[in-house]
Amino acid sequence: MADVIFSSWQGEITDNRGKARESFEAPKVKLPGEFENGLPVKAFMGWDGIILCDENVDIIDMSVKYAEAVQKESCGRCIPCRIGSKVILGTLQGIADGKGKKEDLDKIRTIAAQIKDGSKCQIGQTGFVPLLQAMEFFGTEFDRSVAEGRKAKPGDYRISVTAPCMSVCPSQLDIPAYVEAISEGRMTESLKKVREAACMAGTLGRVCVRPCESNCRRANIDEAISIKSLKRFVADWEIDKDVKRDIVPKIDKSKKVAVIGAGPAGLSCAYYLARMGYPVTVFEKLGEPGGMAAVGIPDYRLPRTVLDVEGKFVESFGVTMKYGVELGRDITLDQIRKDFDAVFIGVGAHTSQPMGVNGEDAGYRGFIAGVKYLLDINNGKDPYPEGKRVVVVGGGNVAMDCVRSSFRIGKPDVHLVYRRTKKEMPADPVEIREAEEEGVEFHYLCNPSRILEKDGKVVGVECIRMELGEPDASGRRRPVPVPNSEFVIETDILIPAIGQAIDWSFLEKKEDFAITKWNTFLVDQETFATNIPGIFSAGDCETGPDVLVRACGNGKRAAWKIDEYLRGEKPKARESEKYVKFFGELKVYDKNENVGFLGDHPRMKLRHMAPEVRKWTFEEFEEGFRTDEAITEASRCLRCYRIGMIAVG
Amino acid sequence: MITFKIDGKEIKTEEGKTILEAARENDIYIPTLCYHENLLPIGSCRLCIVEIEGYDKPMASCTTTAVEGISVTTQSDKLFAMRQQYLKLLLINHPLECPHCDSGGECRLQDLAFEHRIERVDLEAEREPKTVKPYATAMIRYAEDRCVLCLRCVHACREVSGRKVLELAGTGIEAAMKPTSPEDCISCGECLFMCPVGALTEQESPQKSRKWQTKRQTTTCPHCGFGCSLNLDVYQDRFITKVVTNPSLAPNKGSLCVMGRFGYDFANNEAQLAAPTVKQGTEAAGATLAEAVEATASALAKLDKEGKTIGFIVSPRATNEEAYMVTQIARAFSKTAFGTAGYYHTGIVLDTMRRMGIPYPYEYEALKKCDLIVVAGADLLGNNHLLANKVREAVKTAGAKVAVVDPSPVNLTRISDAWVKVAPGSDAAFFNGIAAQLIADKKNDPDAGSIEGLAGGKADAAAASGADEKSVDKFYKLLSGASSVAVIFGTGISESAGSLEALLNLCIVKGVHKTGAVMPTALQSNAVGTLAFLPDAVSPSDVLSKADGLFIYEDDPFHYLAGRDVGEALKNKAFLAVCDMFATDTSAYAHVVVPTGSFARKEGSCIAEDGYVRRVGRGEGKASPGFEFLRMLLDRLGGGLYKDEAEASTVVFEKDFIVTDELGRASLKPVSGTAKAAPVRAGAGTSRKPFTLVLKNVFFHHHLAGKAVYTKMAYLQNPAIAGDKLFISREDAEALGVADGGQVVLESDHGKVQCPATIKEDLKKGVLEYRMLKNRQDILNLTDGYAKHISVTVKKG
Repeated sequence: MADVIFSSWQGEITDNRGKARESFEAPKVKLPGEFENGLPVKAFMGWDGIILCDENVDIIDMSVKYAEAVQKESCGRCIPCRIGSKVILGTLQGIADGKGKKEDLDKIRTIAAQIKDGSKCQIGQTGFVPLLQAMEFFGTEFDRSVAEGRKAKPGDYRISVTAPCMSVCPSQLDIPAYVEAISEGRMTESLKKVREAACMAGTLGRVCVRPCESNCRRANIDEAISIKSLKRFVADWEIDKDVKRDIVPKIDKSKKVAVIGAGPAGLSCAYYLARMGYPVTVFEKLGEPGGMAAVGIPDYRLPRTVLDVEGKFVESFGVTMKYGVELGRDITLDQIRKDFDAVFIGVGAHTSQPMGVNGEDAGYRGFIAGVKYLLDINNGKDPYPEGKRVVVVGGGNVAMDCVRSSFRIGKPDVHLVYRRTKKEMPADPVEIREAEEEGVEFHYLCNPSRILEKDGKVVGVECIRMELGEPDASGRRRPVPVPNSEFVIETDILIPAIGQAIDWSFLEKKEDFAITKWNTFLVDQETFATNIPGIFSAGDCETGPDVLVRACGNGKRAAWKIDEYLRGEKPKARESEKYVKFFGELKVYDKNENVGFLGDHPRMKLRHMAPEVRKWTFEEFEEGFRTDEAITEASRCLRCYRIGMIAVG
Repeated sequence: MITFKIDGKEIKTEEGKTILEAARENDIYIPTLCYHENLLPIGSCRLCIVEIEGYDKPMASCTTTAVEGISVTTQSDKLFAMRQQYLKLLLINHPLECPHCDSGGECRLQDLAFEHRIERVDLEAEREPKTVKPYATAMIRYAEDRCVLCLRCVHACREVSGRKVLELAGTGIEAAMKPTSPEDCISCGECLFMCPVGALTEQESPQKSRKWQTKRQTTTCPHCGFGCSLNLDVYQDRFITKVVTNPSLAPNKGSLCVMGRFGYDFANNEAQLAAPTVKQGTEAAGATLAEAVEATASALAKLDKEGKTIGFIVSPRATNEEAYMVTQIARAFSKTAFGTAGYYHTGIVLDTMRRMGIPYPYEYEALKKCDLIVVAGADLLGNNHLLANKVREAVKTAGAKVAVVDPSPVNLTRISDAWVKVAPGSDAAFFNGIAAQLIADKKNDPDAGSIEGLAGGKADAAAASGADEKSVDKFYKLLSGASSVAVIFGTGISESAGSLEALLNLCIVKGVHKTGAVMPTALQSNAVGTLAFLPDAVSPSDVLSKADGLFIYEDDPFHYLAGRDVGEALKNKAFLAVCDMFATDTSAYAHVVVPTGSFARKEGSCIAEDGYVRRVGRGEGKASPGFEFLRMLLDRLGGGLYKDEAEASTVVFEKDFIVTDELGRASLKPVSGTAKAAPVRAGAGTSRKPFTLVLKNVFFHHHLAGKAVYTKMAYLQNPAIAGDKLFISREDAEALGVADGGQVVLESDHGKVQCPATIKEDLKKGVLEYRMLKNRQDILNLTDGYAKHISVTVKKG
């Protein structure tokens, strides 16, 4: 952390000017000390104010450069921002050149306030907040410049644009841009915008855990924008309206890349490499694209046709897909390394973690791991057709998929056992609610202690009651068994779904690879490079079981590094990635901000099939937005783009 | 309903309305520049900002939805200063050339600057000088420096016209409007209509007059069956300077197509006939109107006395009053026959609908209540462009889905959720299969009753129509799931009685007539009206063959029938009188030729395709010479002397088939009774030869006569909508070895023609398309009557 000399961030004024360092007051805001190795953060100017850590930064020069960025980022739509920011910029430049006049200062103040108060979006609304603060708190500098005709001292700055929603998106989707396009009826452009940042618009539009929506400023007024469903809308639009894509594959590089696994990470990596011109071959053991999204997410949430479209979309960039080819069975890694210049491994985490209960490896009929159960169902198979009662153990999304899929293959009696309470459940709250609506019986604060079997068949599960103790490493309170509280749930099928793990059987020599203590690939966190040169990895096999959107994002970032590697450069983080980290630490979204706008317009919600109908069918249970609904919903977006500028020299 | 306050006044409005909408409903003025009621709120000008009690920042009233209990202030010193500043910012780089700007006197910026008391602007904002860019088409001029970037044009192009010609390019002060895909422009002029300043103006009429020098007359567009309302600006009672529109006038609310917006200039054309001629021997000699009347009356009376049939062919663009006068004239004779070109499509359609008990008239606004809109065999580009705009509006504001049934890409295929490419002539089989499937799945209207001879299902529908099965499935899913459906159809369907009945049967099976609307289109502005007024009208070709003496009013059968046959028929007529605006191929055969006036000189009424009456208002001059001719001829034949068109109108509106509803709107008397499906016709015909040539008969009015074109409409050169072009599918072109633009030879049972063929993407294999403009006869000679589908062989030429 840097020592802060002055801060007006989020309305909190910290003024250490003229004080000795040891008596500095520290503001609440935490500003990273370095932008990158060796490049100190001397000051930060942004949507919420100014943070100054080095008194040598020229506040007037900084203001000019920031105004320049505002004028450049101004989308040109609204008058105050488009023209007003240019008037301010011109006047400020005059001051910085030592040609300022006294009345310029008032002129700037007036126009800046009018831009802030009347602009259409946050570029204009926040673009002159730091300038107005600079003029308020560093007024003497401005007065002196004008009075003495002093020229400003040029500095070195890094500028980036973000938005609260964007800043937390692991795939860095330009959310305000694609939402705005929908509000203007530019659906195809919107989809194009999504696809600049991710290749699985239809999938993310259905199953993303949407960190964006919990960082949406609209929630400060009424409710967050339905960002996820809007993405689905534009992806569906292309299919429904049969929109022709104008994609011409341009494979103009000679170095070849192999991608292992056509899941979100693999597809994403292949997509970006192909767009950069590399010939890419994807090896996928399943007969279809999607990986865990295909076999782990049931059709009622994510129809296979959607993944199919996305696989074909990636293929249309010139990627060669080899489905049904399993590494370790049909081809070896050594062979691939011989034939390709770089390898990306994104095999996911397709096996399940043990519960640690006696008998779980005894092969009882009726005992099946969650991911295996979902895989069977997705292949159109009911592993135990005779069983009608189901108990699923776990509280994550896979557990939810297992219970809800059970109804859909005709099991009327479905239970879920979770050792903590509903509050701690990691599954998406929406999914929990939908499972409740469909009639799943939830048993909280209990855990399996024994499998009951008869003649090699599961007949029940003995559980023990739990209570919550001290928080564990994850911050959640640790469940502790209550002695002598055992009870039995009779069941035909018992499904542990308490976490996934990597199935390493695809590697002949796992020992060649550095592995983390969580039994995942150890990679350089900036470059996704494994310990073996030319082999990169991302997705669940690197992070451990994680969300789809992160696998997409990391697959993309790995593609960038593979490109650098193949061009003979040393892979390193891009400036945009540094900004993601920087903004992540600074926190772009402030849930306490008073936005000051009238709202009271709840978000549009998708129409659902009634629980009693949907629970028996794999048909997609949600219906996408109609055109008018999508436009209305997208129009709620406040377009919270913000400009961040770091003084580094 | 919600209640809130604006400037202290209590306001009630519907939930979901914006503050601006509520204010306008209550006549509270809030300044705006970019807002337009036909568009989604743009929010770019920021002039409509208002303050709301308890909130820090002013908010744009056009994008802020009103909420119960709020208190809104629309005028304050702060708001005034902000608005004034924003306007000053706009004026920094805006030239003050109002005296010679086309929009001077009719400019929002001018009004707003005045309103906000801006005398000078002492601000600077440097901007790169913009090179003058020609706009997408030659019809519209773009003065970049006058543009305020309100973005209405960009939104209008996309939202209203469904095109993607314009985009905002660049950022900050350098942002500018740019025609990104000019080839997509159809010159509809929607952008021009929306422009609040003088940035987009008409190429045809810059500074022919100032706003205050012209008279503005509201009338009905004469170009197609939709019946748009438009205003003519007329200079010195004799010269139309431009067409302007008013968003408050139904049904088009200010929108028009290229014909309506720019096609008025034929009315000013000096080539129009000036005086009557009467043939003496073989020579036509100039005559007075009285002489023409006498020559016509005596010739027809003589034929009548000889027991001969007198035929009357009336243009479907004539007014009701003119059609009525013709029927009165006909009463002087004992054997008469009436024909009108509207018979071929509208006549057959309305007869069939009446026979099957399907409700008519219908309302365009019904589209907004439908969750599915089916468009079958209707191009909606050449004709009825506005109906396509209405469909887009329903999609935008009510989320309707769209399904297209057509072998060619049409105006709405871009936004369609299903597009079934049925082979021309196989529509009946397709609709029958779908109807049978609905019944089999019990997704039919229970009251529909059974249909004799209906069999099969959607698989048969796909097989028999040659349509892609997936598209048929999609269509079926949409149709079976929809709760209310609108069905728009055109000449592609009426071409065969089987197709028409099958579509109407499907409507009955689905209950479209009960929950949605059956919406036939019409090609001409008064096809419906002329058919209503002419007793037992038949096709003009029937009249041509049946009649011995002929009276043709504003019509030219050479436009839509094979010239070989028309010429043969006319050659042998004992007498022919033609009343038209220009000399035509038909008038060349006439014994008496009398000039008529353009639509701008007419007063009266017509009935649009929806069955509702529209008013035709005189923009220039006195009564049309055509009406004068009818008036005097009627008097001469003893039918009485009408004073003027208004007197004829009085009689017209007293007819028992015209009724007036509670809103005061006159329409045809509604069809009553219960709908009854027609038995399935056997042997729905597909093409006998390997190809079907589909004719699209667009872009004509009086401005086309013979091969002469009396309009400067540059759209005729616009490749996106050009006429006289033969289109072929890529697949067929490749199979025949024909390059794009290469020659092909078409041969039908009746003729042969060679012409270049242009490849059209997405056209169905086996289908050729021709848009007739000037070279009509080359193509029409492939038929022996009126046809939209011609069976042909195609060879490389």
